[in-house]
Amino acid sequence: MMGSAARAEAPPDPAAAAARLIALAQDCIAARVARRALLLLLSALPAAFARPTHLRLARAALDPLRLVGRVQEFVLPNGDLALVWRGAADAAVAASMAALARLFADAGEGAPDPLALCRLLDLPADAGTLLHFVETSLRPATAPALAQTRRALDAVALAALEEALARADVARFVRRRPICAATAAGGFRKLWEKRFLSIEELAGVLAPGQAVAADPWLFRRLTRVLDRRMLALLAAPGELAGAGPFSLNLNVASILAPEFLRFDAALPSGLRRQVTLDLLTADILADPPAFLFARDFVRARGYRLLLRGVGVDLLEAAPLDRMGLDLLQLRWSPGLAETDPDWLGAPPERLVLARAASASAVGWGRLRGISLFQGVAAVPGGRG
Amino acid sequence: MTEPDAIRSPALKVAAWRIVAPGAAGERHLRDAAERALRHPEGRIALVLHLSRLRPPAPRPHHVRIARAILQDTAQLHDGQVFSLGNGDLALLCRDDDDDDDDRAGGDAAAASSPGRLPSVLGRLLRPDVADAATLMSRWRLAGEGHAVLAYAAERLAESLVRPAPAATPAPDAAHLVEAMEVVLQQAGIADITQAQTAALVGPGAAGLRPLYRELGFSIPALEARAGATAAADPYLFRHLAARLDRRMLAALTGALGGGGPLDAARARTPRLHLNLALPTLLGGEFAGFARRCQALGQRLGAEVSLVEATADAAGFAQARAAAAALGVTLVLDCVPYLALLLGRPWRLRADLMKLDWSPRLSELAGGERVELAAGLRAAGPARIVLQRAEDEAAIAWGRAEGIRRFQGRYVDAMLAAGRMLICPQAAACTLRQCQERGAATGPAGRRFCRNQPLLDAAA
Repeated sequence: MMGSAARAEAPPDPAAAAARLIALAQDCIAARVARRALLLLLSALPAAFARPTHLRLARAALDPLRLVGRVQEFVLPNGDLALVWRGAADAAVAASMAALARLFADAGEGAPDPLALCRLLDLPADAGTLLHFVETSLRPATAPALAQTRRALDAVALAALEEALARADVARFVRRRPICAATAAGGFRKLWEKRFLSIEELAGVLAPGQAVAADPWLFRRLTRVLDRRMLALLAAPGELAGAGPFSLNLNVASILAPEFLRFDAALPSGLRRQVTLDLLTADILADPPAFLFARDFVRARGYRLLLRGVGVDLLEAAPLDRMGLDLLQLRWSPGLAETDPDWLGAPPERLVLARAASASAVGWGRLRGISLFQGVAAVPGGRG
Repeated sequence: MTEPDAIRSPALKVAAWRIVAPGAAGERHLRDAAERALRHPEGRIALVLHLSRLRPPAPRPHHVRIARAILQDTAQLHDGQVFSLGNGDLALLCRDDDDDDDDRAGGDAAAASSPGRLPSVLGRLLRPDVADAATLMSRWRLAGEGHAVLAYAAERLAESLVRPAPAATPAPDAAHLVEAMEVVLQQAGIADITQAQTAALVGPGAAGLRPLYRELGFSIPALEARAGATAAADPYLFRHLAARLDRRMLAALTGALGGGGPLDAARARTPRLHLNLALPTLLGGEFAGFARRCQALGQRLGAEVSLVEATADAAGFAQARAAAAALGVTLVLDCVPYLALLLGRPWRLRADLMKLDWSPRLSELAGGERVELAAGLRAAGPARIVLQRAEDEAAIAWGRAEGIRRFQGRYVDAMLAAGRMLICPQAAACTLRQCQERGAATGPAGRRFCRNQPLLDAAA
C-alpha cells in the first residue's frame, strides 16, 4: 500500500521527477542536509524478468518504506525507482530488502539477484552516485532498444495518423518545459517556458507500436501538421489569457500558414514580444526565400527568433549573426566541451544550452559565460 | 493535407500559384470602390502591390496571404478596403493618416501597417524575391492621381474578361498520393525513372570542355508523372519516396555491375560516377560493398547528399564524411542555394565538393549581398564548387567571372552533345536535342535510336 505522502508527491512526468530528484540532491549538497535514499534499478532487469507482473511485485516490495514519514518517491524516465526520506527507518529498509530478496525465489536458476539491483545511499555523501543514476536514466540509451521494438512509421501509416490527428483532442498532449537563467546565487530562475505537443505520447495513443521519427522526412511532415494543431489550440478563446512568456517549435511553413495569422491575432496585447519562435537550421535552408520572408514578417511584429537544436557537428556551419536570429540553442553533448570556444556561433549572452541534464553540462556552460539553460539540471529553484 | 506551399528545394519542382478572385469580382469591386472614393478623394490613397511581377514560381501562397493580412491591418485602422485581383496583384484603398497615431493604436504591428510605412515593410519582405522591391508597388493619391487608379482598375478588368478560367487544382490528397507512391515503388523499373547528367570543367577556349563525372539520379518529372502529383505538392513525401528509391537504385546498380548494360557503373567513361544518396543508404553496408567492387573495377565514385539532409543530420553527415574518405568516395554537398552562402557557412560541413544552384538572382544581387556572397565563394574555394542547374549562358558567364570552372546543367548538356555531334559519323540523322535526351537516358528505351552508343556514353 502506497503511503499518502508519497502518492501526493510522486509527479506523473518521469522527466519532471528526475528534475525534482536532481534538485533535491543538490539541495542536500548545498545545505548539508542528511537524507537516505534507496534506488531500485528496475531498468537493469533482464526482459524475461521485467514483465508487468514482475515490475508490480518489485514496486510493492518497497511498501514498508512508503510508510516512513515524509518519504518522497520518484519514478525515473527509465523506470528506475528512488525513495528518499529523512531520519532513521532501519526496520522499514530491512522489511523492504527482505521482500525484494523473495522476489524471484521461485524462478529457479538464471533469475537475477534483486538485491543487486538496490543501492542504499546516504546523502549528501552519496549524492554523486544518486546524480549519476538519475542522469543515466535521462540518457536516450534505452530509446534505440525501444525503437527496435516498434515499426518505422511508413507513408501509409502517416496518412492514417494525420487523419486521426484531425479528429483527436490534442490539448492533453501539450507539455511545457522551463528555460531558466542561472542566478548569481547558483540557482535557476524561469524566464520562459517552451510549449509543445509531445509527439511520442501522441503517437503512443494514435499510432501505437510505430516509431514516428524513424523516417526523417515523414517526421518533418508530421511536425508541420502538429505545428498547425498547436497554433490552433493557442488561438482558442481564452487560451492565452494570463499567459506568461513562452516559446514554440515551428516550421517556417507553419509561420506562413493561416493558423499562424489566427494565433497572432489571438495573442494578448503585449505578449507578442515575449513569444519566441524556435526554428531548425535544415528547415531554414530547405527554403531560404520563405525563411527570409517569415523572419522579417515576425520580427516586424515583435517576436523573438531562436535557432534550435544546433549540435557540435553543425555549430560552425550555422552562425546566428548570418541568419539574423536572436538566440542560438546549443545542444549539449560531451563533444561540445572539446570545441573551440570561439566557434560557439553566437556571443554567450545569446546562447541557450539545451539538454543540460548534468552538472557537468551546466558547469561547462557557465564557464563559457552562458546564462540560459534548458534541461533537468537547470530547473527553477534548482542549483547548478 | 498541406497546401502546395512547399519547400523549394532546387531538386523539386514548385508549382506556380495565383490567388484568383472568382470571375472578375476583385477587379469590378476595385473599379467601383475607386469611383466611389473619387467623389471625396482628399486624404485617400491607393496602393497596389504588383505580385504578378514576381518571377515564377512566385508569388507563392504565403506572399499573397501575409501581404493581404498586412494590407488588411492597414485597411482596418485606416478606413480602407483590400482587393485580390485575378493576376495575383493586391490593391488597397484607404485614408492616408498621420503615422504618429499608429503607435498609440496598437504598437509595432499597427505602426508597421501604417500607409506611409507599407512600402518599406512590404519591400523588405519581398527583397529575397526581387532585385528592386519598389518595382512591385504603385502608390497614388486619389486627389490628383485618381485617373491612374481608374486606369489600373480598367486595365485589370479588361484583362480578367479575356483571361481563361484557371483550371481547378484541388489540393492533393495525402492518402491518394501515398497510394500512388507505393505503386511507383512496387512497379517502376529503375532505369525508367532515373536520368544521367554529366558535369564538365569549362576552361578557356573551344577545347576547354572536360567531363568530370556522370551523375545518376531520379527524374522528378518521371516520378511526378507516375505519382500523379507534383513534388511541390508534398515535398516531404517526395523526399521520402526518393530515399526509398535510393536503396532500389543501389541494388539495381550492384546487380548491373560488370554486366555491360546502361546501368553498369564500370562501363561509365567519365572519370567518376556520382550517385544521389540518402544518408542511411550512404552509411549502409550495401553502399560500402558497391564502392569496393567499383574500386576493384577501376571506377571511382562520388556520393551526393543534399544540404537539407546534411544539416538535418549533421552527425550523420560527419559519419558519412569519414566513411566516404575511407572508401575513396568523393562526398558532395548537393543542392546548395546561393542564399545558404549568405545565411550560413555550408562549406564548414567540409564536403569534397559543393554544388551551388544557379539562380538568375545571382547576377542581380545588391552591393552588400554581392560582397558577402563573394566572400562565401572564396571561403568555400571556387575549385571545390560546381555551379549546377546551369541552364543558359548567363550561368556560365557568372560562374566564370567568380572563378568557378565546374558546371552542370542543360547548357552543359548542350555543349557536350554538340561536341559529340561534331565527331559522330552518324550525327546527320540526329538533332542536338535528341542527342541531349539520349545522353540523359539510362534505360534502353531512351537510347535505342542512337547509332553510336559508345560515343554517347563517353559523354565527351
